[in-house]
Amino acid sequence: MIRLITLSDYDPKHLEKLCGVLYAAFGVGCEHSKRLHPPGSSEPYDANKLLTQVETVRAYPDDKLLYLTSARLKDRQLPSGTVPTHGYAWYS
Amino acid sequence: MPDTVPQFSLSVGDRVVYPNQGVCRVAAVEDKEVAGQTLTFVTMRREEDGAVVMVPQAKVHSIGLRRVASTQDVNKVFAFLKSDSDRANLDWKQRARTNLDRMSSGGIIGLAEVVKGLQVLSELRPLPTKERELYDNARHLLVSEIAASLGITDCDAEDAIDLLLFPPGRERPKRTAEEFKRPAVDGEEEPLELGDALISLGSDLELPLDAEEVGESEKEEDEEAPEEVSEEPAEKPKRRGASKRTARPTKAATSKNHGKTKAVARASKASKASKAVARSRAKVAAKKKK
Repeated sequence: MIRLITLSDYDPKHLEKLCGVLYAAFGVGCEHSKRLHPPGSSEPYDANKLLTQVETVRAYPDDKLLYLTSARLKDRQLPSGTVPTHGYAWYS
Repeated sequence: MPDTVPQFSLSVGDRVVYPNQGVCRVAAVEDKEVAGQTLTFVTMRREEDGAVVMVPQAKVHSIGLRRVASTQDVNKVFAFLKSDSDRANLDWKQRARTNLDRMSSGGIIGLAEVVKGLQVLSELRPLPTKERELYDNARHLLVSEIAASLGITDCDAEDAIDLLLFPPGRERPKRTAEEFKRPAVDGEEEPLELGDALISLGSDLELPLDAEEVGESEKEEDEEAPEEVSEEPAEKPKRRGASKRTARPTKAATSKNHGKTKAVARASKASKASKAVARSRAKVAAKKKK
């Protein structure tokens, strides 16, 4: 199951549509689980820190958590240069 | 690609790269009895999913097991990915063969070469399914090795590669087939122009026998324009295959419309092939004269 967690306000219709798209793309069920508020830090967020600090939701083994935000994410300094962060992933 | 694999000893906890499998950690080195023989086995656990693989220590080098790339190697990979040096080979057979070699024994540079080569090729035309799978596979292995080598997350390693392959704010270039043509090396024989026509025909084409070829080459020595020779009725054995091919479509052409188009296509293929054969023979004859 893909669990959608929003960190900003979104139109429920858009979220429903996104769930449908994810379901069609991956063949895995998707639902909007919760609306959370990002922790105290200000924009632009450090994506890695945000993931460590933000609250989580109840999930089961093999579930995927997808956090959505309309806030800007900080560019990252990598060995090959500075990359803009449009998204960030943790694999486990 | 390295010709020899450097010797190294493995101990528990070492991180190694198993070709085509990814980064593994040595879990145990132990003796086991198999069919009455005592062999030393290296047990490795793949970091990605925990899959276990056991390899006899004697075969560790032959299967291409190697240590995780060093920071210098990764920097070389970044420099290579950044450069605009790689031109993909347009011959799919050669490309498949070299890519296979690079994947199994090319090290991290080999992985980068596969990724870069296929990425450049994808700028010319969409990749076929098999090559897209190979690209995904090579990219995944490269990302996990860079992440293991630099001690960064997979996401960071992937973005580091993407930054070089697809620089932000720059459109992907549109390549043309001319860009991929390799300049002929001195002393290298000019390839016979049989390639496209023969490959497209596959087993449909009946090549003349060797004995016939000898007879024809003797005839061709006497005449100046071997291309025209192939069109003359005197050369019966040579035209046998071609006439068969051209005769069939004319029959089909009278029957139905769709049959007609098929027949015309086949006829044009056959004529192309016969022309290509004639051209190559002309070259062989010219070389012999010289």
